[in-house]
Amino acid sequence: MMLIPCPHCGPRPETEFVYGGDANVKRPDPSASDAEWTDYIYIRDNPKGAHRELWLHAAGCHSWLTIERDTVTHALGSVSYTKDSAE
Amino acid sequence: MSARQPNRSDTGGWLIDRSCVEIFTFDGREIPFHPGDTVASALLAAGETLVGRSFKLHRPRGIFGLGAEEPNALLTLGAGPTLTPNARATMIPAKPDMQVSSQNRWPSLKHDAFGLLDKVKAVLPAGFYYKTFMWPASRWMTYEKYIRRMAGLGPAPRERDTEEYARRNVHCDVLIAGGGPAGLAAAEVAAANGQFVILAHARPSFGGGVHSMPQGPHRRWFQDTLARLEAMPNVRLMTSTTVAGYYEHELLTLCERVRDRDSALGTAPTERFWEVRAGRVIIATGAIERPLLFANNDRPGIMLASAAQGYLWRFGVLAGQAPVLFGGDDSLYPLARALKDAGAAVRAVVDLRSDPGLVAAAYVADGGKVIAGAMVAKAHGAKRVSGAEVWRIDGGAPQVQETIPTDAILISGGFGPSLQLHAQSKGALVWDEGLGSFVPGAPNGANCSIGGARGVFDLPNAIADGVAAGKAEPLPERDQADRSTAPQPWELPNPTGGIRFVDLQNDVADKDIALAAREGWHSIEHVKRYTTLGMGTDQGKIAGPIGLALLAAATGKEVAKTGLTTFRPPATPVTFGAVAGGHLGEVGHAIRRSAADSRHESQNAVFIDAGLWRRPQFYTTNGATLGEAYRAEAAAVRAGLGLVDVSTLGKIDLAGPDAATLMDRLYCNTMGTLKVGRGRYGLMLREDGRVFDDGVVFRLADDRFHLTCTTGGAGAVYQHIEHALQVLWADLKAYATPVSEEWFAAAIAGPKAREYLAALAPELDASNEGLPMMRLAETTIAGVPARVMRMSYSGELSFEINVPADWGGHVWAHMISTGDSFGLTAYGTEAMGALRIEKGHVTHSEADGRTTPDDLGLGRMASRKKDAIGVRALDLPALQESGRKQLVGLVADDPAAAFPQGAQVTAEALGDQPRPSLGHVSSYAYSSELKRMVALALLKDGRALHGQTVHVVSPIMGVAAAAKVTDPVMIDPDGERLRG
Repeated sequence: MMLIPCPHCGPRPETEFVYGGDANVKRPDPSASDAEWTDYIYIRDNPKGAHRELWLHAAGCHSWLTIERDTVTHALGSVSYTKDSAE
Repeated sequence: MSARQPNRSDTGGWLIDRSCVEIFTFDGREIPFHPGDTVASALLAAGETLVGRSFKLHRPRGIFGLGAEEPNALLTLGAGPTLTPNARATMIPAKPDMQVSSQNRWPSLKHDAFGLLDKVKAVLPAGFYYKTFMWPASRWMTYEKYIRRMAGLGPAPRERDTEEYARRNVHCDVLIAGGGPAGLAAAEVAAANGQFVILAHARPSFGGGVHSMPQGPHRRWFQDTLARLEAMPNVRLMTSTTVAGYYEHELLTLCERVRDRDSALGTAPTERFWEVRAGRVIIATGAIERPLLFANNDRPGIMLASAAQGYLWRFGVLAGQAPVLFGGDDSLYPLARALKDAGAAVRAVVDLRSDPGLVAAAYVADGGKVIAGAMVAKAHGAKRVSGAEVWRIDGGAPQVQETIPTDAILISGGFGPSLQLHAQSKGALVWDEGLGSFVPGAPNGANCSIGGARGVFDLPNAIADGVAAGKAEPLPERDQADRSTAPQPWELPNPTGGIRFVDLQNDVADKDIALAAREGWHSIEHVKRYTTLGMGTDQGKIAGPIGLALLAAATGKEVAKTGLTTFRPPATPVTFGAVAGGHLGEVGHAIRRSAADSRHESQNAVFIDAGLWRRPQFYTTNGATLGEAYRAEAAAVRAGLGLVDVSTLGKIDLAGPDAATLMDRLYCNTMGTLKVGRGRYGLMLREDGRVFDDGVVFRLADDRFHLTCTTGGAGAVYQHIEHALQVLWADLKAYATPVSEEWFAAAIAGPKAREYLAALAPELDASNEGLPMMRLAETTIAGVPARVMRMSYSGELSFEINVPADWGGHVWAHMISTGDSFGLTAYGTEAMGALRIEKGHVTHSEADGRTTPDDLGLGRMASRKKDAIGVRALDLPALQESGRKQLVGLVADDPAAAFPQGAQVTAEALGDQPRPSLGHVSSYAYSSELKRMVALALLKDGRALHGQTVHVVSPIMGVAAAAKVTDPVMIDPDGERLRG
């Protein structure tokens, strides 16, 4: 079980969090093509290694976090509030 | 040595107290033992060689190992509520009055009826069950009963476990798994550096391999080190504690068998399950000896040489009176001498090496017999080994040499590190050609393996490893061991052609692996599942490496490239009791209760779990059953007045200048135009267009909304909103607050609802003009501030009343007492379900994650004039195609017909021919109004079927009923009642 350093609550066990998927996908504009929307809804990379992903601290501060995680080793890189990284 | 302990020697016995003799029973026979004995050492001392029957072939089996790797000696401890099956005799400390039984034999261990299976083993190859019992499929049910009786391990307990278990969580700087010399050295050094250290050791006493050695300076070192550790306040010494699992980021699970260590329990639990988060982990779990392959290598009396050495020095027990030693390195000779000194008549050392060297020569010079360049090719004897058939293999084809009478063959195929924890942590595994074994490679995470667990098998170097690891310094260079002068265990010929077992616990022989390879199974993971190699309680600790090498040979691959099967926790078996801890029965999980919960109880409510909550399913009077009660409750609502607790519905307060904009994006229908004080039914979609949740929304102010959602969906909806606010549209200024528990909510419904509301809230204008549909008003009820919302789930004139949760019990009681004169009937979830089914209202049975708004007949709600989650996906071609399942109502033709659970719907009645399914029933109930069963169903192009007759069928239950397809709204289609 991973230990995730929540920027608000400190290091907390993975069981407090909910996985939110790939942080790199961006919701298209409604006017975008069917193909772009299909991509957004259904198609995800399944990388071996580095992955930027979303986690919700559901049993804590309820922050959505953007976390860099290695899918092989589970080593964590940077952790930040997703809200801050939004364009 | 005594008559009752014929194999007890005066030599050795570091761990036992010879001054005391106690008794436990094995299959009803009294077994004497000394405190400190394991069940296995006591059985060996008493001459109990036969301890079990094998899993598949019911062959007689004896004690094979010394520790957790034991494949054979699985016994049942206790009986009734304290019964524990499959306990390893080698790990269980003997205790007075303990009741121990052998397993997998009938009627008795010595005369096992299924032992006949061994005679037909030629027709029981790998995959036998798959190949033989699959056809005809209908007979599997018959076969299964017998197979289950024949194959298996101990019995599952039939009674509820009366023992107590506990769970603990702890953090430490350093966790050390294994309290042998390396682990002890590491603990002392790390603790001296001020770190908080946990040292966990599977046995009741520390020391490990130290106790498998004769007297020497290492014993003094061990005692002094342990004494210093015991005096350190920053060390937690845990004996009888197995490190079972290694999870991400140095979370480890430990199982502490408190009773193994200390019979005087007091208030302590039998076992404690620990979750330890460690700064770093030192793996010092030692090494496991590998067996050698020869015909009948599973006979009782055949044992790992290191185990025999352990039994001698730890417990003063001889594995046999006249042993033969068989192996390929110098470690055999000191053991042969020690056994001789302890009184055993060592028959011979059979050395695989043709030129065994000086140590062997010295042994011969002292009068020992060595047969070099030879192997034991076959064991004679059945319930106990009686002879070792020795063949020469040092030139050309193997030649038979002689059969040596013996009662024990002690075998050594070299050592391999115990890799469990390193591999669980996803550390790399490297093939070491010299050792003929995988060893730990680069670690993943903050851990290192030391001593035997990394292939360092001698005492001084293991201690040096521990010192370096304790300081967190790089480990010393490892001496490259070399076993290359002797063949590896899997390279031995089989000149007699007899059966050679690789996996003793699962009766997997070398030919089974060869067969699997011939049949095309080339991945070790597949071979494991096909042959059962490496399964069971020992998880192939002994069998795995050899099976792997055999597969590599059979498929012509290198061992290193064949790889190992995945190591998963637990490293050694852990009881379910320990994992569950105290989370059992009523405290198994938290229960959320409505504020009126105790009132429901006093009204004889029967409760049902709903999401995290418990809710009244129905109220039982005069012993009414569920079916009787809900029909009466539902009828009372339609005819007069009902009251239902709806506190469990999710409630979220959404506030902020952009609240209206957010509402429009969360719901597929328009919400931003809602006027203050008014409500609207809304649908939330997932981004893929499927209905996510539904509920009524009221606008409390320009910048504030009160959302309701389903009981089960409340948590997910809140997360969904936070996702929208923090991930999708971080620029929106709004704030969501879950308020489900802040409010007690109850709905009154029925033709008399307004009359009753007027009496309940005299300050409120309850008229149709004063409080129209979907309006919210504030008032006082029973002296408590209340919100009254006019909306209807039942289809009747209905009001939902919310009061602060602390007043919920009070208000409910007030409503029950004042409702009497109105004929008020409390109803539960079952009646509520029947009422909503009649009205075609959907729940998650219909919005099941596959249905779109249009599938549910709510397609017009999805507005294309704004961007909302999930609306864009509705225009994707796949969601526009015909043939989708659509929501319909079903009304039974025959008033007496029953709708079966889990029913499918077909166009024609079931006959001998299979019928295609049109779809399935999602919810069904008895309609008190239509006086027959009704259902909601999702049928392919269902809206085109209105008016047709279909069949509601369950071939499994043998039930079928004709029904008419209707609009989902089966009563009062124009909604006149609720607007009345």
